[in-house]
Amino acid sequence: MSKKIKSLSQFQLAMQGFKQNRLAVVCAWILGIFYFCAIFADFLAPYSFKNEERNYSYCRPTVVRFVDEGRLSRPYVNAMQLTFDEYHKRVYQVDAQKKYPIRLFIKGDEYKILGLIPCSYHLFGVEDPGRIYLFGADARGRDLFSRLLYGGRISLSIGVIGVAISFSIGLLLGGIAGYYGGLTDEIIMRICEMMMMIPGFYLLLALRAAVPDDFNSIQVYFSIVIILSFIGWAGLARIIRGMCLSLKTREYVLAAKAMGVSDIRIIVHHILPHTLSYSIIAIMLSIPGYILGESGLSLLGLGIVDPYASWGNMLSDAMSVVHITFAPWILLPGILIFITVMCFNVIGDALRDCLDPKFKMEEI
Amino acid sequence: MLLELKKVKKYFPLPQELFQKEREYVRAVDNVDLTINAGENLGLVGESGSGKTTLGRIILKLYPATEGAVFLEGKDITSLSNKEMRPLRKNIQMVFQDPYSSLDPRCTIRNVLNEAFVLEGKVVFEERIKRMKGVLRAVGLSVSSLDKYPHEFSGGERQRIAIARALIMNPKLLILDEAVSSLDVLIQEQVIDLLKELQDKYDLTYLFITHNLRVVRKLCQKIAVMYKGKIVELAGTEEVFSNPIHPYTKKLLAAALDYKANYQEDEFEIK
Ligand SMILES: Nc1ncnc2c1ncn2[C@@H]1O[C@H](COP(=O)(O)OP(=O)(O)O)[C@@H](O)[C@H]1O
Ligand SMILES: [Mg+2]
Repeated sequence: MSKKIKSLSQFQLAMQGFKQNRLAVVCAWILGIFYFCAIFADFLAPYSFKNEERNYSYCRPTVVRFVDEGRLSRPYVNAMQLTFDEYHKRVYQVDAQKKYPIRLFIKGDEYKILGLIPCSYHLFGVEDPGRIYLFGADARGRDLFSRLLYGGRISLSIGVIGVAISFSIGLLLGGIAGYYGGLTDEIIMRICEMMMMIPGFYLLLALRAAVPDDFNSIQVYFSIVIILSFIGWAGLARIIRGMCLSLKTREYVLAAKAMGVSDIRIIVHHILPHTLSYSIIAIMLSIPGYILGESGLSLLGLGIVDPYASWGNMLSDAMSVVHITFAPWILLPGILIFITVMCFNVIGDALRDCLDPKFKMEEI
Repeated sequence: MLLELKKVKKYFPLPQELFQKEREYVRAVDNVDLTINAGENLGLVGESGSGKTTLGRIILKLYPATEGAVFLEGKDITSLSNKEMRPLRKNIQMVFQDPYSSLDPRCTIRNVLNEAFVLEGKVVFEERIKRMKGVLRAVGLSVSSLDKYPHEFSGGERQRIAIARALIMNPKLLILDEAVSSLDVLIQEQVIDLLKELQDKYDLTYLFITHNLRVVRKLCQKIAVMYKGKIVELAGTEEVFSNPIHPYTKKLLAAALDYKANYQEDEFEIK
């Protein structure tokens, strides 16, 4: 064995194993890109999520052209002309005469960088009256690409914030229940069981019904996050409690106790860190639940409402077969949800393989 | 008198079966009276399951005693709350049985030793480092061990770390629960020599818990033999070895001497 300069904890050693799982690394990159795009949505998107153009309802994806009259030119898009065919169906025709070059760092809709600094530059776009619809348009002629980016903000962040809240509650309550035992344990566990007895989606709907109707979109967003985390903590708390029951009899816990270390410090320093590998796996595997929960609510019109975009409410457009056949690109939010959920699951599984102590034991 | 136990009992309830009227108990420690004087090491010997560990943990107040009282330097600590007990904790420390589970695998040795200062509150950084290095040297480990994790050490070294962790608190009584039992014979000897050396240096008194009579001879002035939760014999070490009274002691002694004979034979063959 080569001499190591820095001592590695067992956790760090396990993470080296993760990097050897190609698929999981690819998934981590995909998620990284998704989250990056969501954070910088206002800059990356050519339009704001509200920017609509009724004349371009369900306009098909714009083709970016590089060849102009047989010669290579800077990329441009053609104008689209809405006409009706003999059956009175909408048909978009390319108007080859009107060309709009794609410009970088173009001025467009106003937004605030990270919610603070006002700015109106976008990564790319075309001059009015041209429109660029990379992934097509929705019913009201809004750019699907832009709305996917904005929708990602909500759909992707809901998972992370929800998990952060529910895991803090679950870890701490589970830790306390397991460590102290007795009456504390009984009370916390009964509450958990009550939460877990009610089927998740009904509880979600019931709690949503308790939220006032006149909330604005930010309030709705946070109430959904809180509802989702309110449902999520119980399962984790139960498992963490079980682990704590056995962890608290470990001799290093007794040693810390004998040294006069306080209970809460023991829980935080010597007990919860040992549930970390389980927790990380559980976090990865439960984020999809939050994303799907938000999608479900929004799909039913109980979550994020128009004009605000989330992958769930964008998908509610795709509930009619007629629209899907005419404009199949409105299924894209569903595909993104699918990819995201898959990525989290693959990463969760890969982490389980390299963090699970039992698995490690067999290797040695 | 450093420590005194009066009629200490510890009953663990067995899981109650359906329709069973009375609850049954394991009498892990049953009516134990014991005194330990400062500077006078006591060996607590008995087969596994006789309640030695439980007794040690009662002294540390890791378990509450079912009945009886524990006096530390004349002060009754049985009924003290956790908070009142905390400042007294440093007086009694323990080295645990299993060197593999007595160190948190996620903590470096520095983290482990640092825990001592949680109780003391504000101790300046230099002072901390000085004391940490001091105890590490005292137990024969290099100072560079500070930033290593427990899995980088052997069993014997881990037990030394556990001793260092106890020493950094400056205890008066050190309970060694089968501290050398899981180590192989040569390492056992080394650790016992170390303990002897440390006793003078740190002014310690040991309560040496073991199932093996042989190892207590070198270290302890007195021996208490424990059997099914009770102390069945309590006498000076040489007296126990030369003139055991209780049949159980005789059995233990026979086992220890037998083992010793074998061991010497082996040694002879190697030469
Ligand atoms: N936490 C506990 N709960 C229930 N029974 C216990 C517990 N700890 C120890 N016992 C029982 O008490 C008896 C004495 O155990 P112990 O003190 O560990 O013995 P020793 O250390 O001498 O091997 C054993 O029968 C054991 O099963
Ligand atoms: Mg024991």
